[in-house]
Amino acid sequence: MSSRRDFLKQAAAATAALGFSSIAADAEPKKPRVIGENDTIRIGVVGVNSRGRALATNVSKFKNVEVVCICDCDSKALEACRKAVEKITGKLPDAEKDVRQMVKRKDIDAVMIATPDHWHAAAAILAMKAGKHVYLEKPTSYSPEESEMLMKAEKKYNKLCVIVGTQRRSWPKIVEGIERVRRGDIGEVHYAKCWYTANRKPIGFGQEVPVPANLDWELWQGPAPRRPYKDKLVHYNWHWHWHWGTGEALNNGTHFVDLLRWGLKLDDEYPTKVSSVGGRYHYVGQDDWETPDTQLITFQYGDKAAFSWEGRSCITTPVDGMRNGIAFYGTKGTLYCDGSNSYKITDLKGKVIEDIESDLAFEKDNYRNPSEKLDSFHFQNWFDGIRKGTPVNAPLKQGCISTICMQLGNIAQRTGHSVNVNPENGHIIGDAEAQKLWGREYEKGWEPKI
Amino acid sequence: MMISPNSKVRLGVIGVNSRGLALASRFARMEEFDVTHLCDCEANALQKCADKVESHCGRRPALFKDLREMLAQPDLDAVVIAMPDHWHAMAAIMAMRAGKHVYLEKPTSYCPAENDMLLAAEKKYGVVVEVGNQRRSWPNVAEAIEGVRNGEIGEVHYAKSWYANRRKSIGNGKAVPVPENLDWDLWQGPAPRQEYHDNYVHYNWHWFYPWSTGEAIGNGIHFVDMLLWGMDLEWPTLIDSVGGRYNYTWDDWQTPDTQLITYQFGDKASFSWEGRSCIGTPTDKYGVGVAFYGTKGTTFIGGGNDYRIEDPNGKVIKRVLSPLKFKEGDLFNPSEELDTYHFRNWYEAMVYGTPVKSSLKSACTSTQLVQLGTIAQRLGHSLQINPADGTIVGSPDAAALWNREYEPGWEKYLK
Repeated sequence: MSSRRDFLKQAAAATAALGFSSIAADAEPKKPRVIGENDTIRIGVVGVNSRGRALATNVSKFKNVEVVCICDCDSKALEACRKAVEKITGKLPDAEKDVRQMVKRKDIDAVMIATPDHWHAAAAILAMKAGKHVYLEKPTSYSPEESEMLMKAEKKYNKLCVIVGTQRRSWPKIVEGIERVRRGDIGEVHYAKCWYTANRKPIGFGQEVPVPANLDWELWQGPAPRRPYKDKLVHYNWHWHWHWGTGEALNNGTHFVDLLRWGLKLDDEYPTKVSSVGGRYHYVGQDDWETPDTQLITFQYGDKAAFSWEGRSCITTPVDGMRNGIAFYGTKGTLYCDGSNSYKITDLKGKVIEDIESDLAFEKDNYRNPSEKLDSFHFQNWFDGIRKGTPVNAPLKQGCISTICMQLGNIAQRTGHSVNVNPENGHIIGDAEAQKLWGREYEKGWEPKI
Repeated sequence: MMISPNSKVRLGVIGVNSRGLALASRFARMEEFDVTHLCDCEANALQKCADKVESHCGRRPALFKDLREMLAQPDLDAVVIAMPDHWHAMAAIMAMRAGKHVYLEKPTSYCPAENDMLLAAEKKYGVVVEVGNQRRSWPNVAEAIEGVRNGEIGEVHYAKSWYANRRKSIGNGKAVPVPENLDWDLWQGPAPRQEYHDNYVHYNWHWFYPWSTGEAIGNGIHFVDMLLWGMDLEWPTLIDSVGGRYNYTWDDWQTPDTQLITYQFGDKASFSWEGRSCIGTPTDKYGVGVAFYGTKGTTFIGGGNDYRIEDPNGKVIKRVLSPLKFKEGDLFNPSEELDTYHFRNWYEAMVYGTPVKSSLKSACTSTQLVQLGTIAQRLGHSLQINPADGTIVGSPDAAALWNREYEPGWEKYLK
């Protein structure tokens, strides 16, 4: 930790450089309020149609936590979330359409970000710059470049507590299972797999229609270059369009690859090579879905380890009885986790020798809020981080590395060849074609800058 | 060149220590065949196999150390080749040139260039060639594959295959005098000469690059062959591989013991092969197998003649079991009775001119797919493939691995 003086010095130096030009008038980085053990943490939540509403309502149930403000550029989603919070707390949170305004509020200590992917890094940088602690949903960013910016921003604003929504890092049985892999309970582990399956239906063809009265399309697009509004995009289906989304790989793969990296002790390094096969194979000609619905991303870590992520968005047939899961192949046994708060270990013949269950349920088909009770562990960890400086279970750096790994997978998929990667910083080696996808083009005036 | 249905096929088996021993022993008990000749450059293996054949049919076959001598025999109709991988293509071409029909164990060859030579030889000499992808003849496997091809599980664009075993370390070999029972020069044949070590012969040559390219080519090929068959695919557009030698890293083993090869077929399909040589944990209840993911169901075929179809929730909706069992742990002869179907298919092709089920063409494609996977692994990057002919596009670094270097004086036998 740097001293407070260092922090102020750094912050001053960063003032001119970091942030959005569109809020240039508010460029002075703010420092966070000191929050005592019994003080209330005051929260603003942005992006609340689905996952954000779950976050807002879940944290509203905590003692000494108050959701002060809800932010969304869709007034319907905004009102629905405010009412949902009111139902729990008896108090209607304030409404704000524009996250740039919300982060200015002095009565907010922390921001939870569950916007679409193209907004993640931008919103997080805005919040950090405004001196707010951050809970950032995965993926940490839309592009690898943005994740790098986030890691730099976190270093500059080092009084802030930033946690990523890879919440399994706080689930007790998963933590136990991963710790056991790390300490050698299944022997040496150099190879692992993870997978995600779903039964997603076609999304149809979006038509250019007038923007609905409840939506501020300009704000929704934020950093992304402007496009005419089409229906069938907001909410949710933007996930499958490259302009805003990052596909199933980042949407769900990030969670599982994050666990593999953790278990394999690949904490601080990037792969040396990333490759991907797959495509949009289902409902071809029936919709405008762009990202792969079937994908196998493979990761090489020098001569030390390899792992893969398999995604099947339209075929749910389980692998080893698990629709989602991870498998660590150790020299003495294989450890599986199906994405819930549990794990099992088999011997090398596949016989289950330990089956560790939890009574806290995970609802697989609940896309928005599958694990409320379990997620509370993660929220509590963040609150402890804010109040007492407790290290967070899902540090921004880990979320960013996992995010970059999967983004490299998408870059390999889109360029049609493997990408060679510098294991120290995740940068693509050579390969001008792949380099082009490292960053993104921004709408003029919206470029995040450090 | 057709063989009369009234006479037995006079068979010579080359490379008879393990798989060749199993093959000879089975052929010797089939009424369609007479195992008349055996060949091995290792005398103990040769005698052991001769004893076995004699015990079955009461007559000791003629024994040869050098296949060139055996192939010169006029009273020989067909040969079975079960030598180490580096010998496969050359032995098959020599046999074809000698006018013998060929049963060639997989892989068809050591390197991609040899596949082209094989196909050219087949065309030139017009003999019947059947490759040892024996699952193409197993009734339930064929039924499962036909189901996949005919839409029983809906559209299929994605599939996986895997092989898991619990192989131990091969230790660190020592340079020792060549044992008297072994002709090391003949054993090496087309491969450039190396010093003899005591952990090469038999079997462990599989894990050394001069003679093989590892588990992918040793076992992956069977399953990649089934994927190509079921999905009606030929050449991919992209191949890559990750993995390495992760277990017993102190020993001499060179090839990957953990490998995941991935294949892209344009925008139409993709599939993978996963090999775990030292960690045998099964996947989806099978130690070895394939899974075709269809829009209406998933077909799983294990190493044997069994299959099952699961609905998208993982519920088994069809299960077909075979009374003839596949022994997963048996490295040399896991499926003797089942293989008889395949041998009979070869027989019928030689006698009646019916099509072989595992053609040289299809097997060269399967072989080349795993060879290219291992080339990608060794180079550390993906390979762009020309879907018209299976050649590598760009990647000048791959050219050296497309061909191999031959021991001087041996290349002429490939012509």
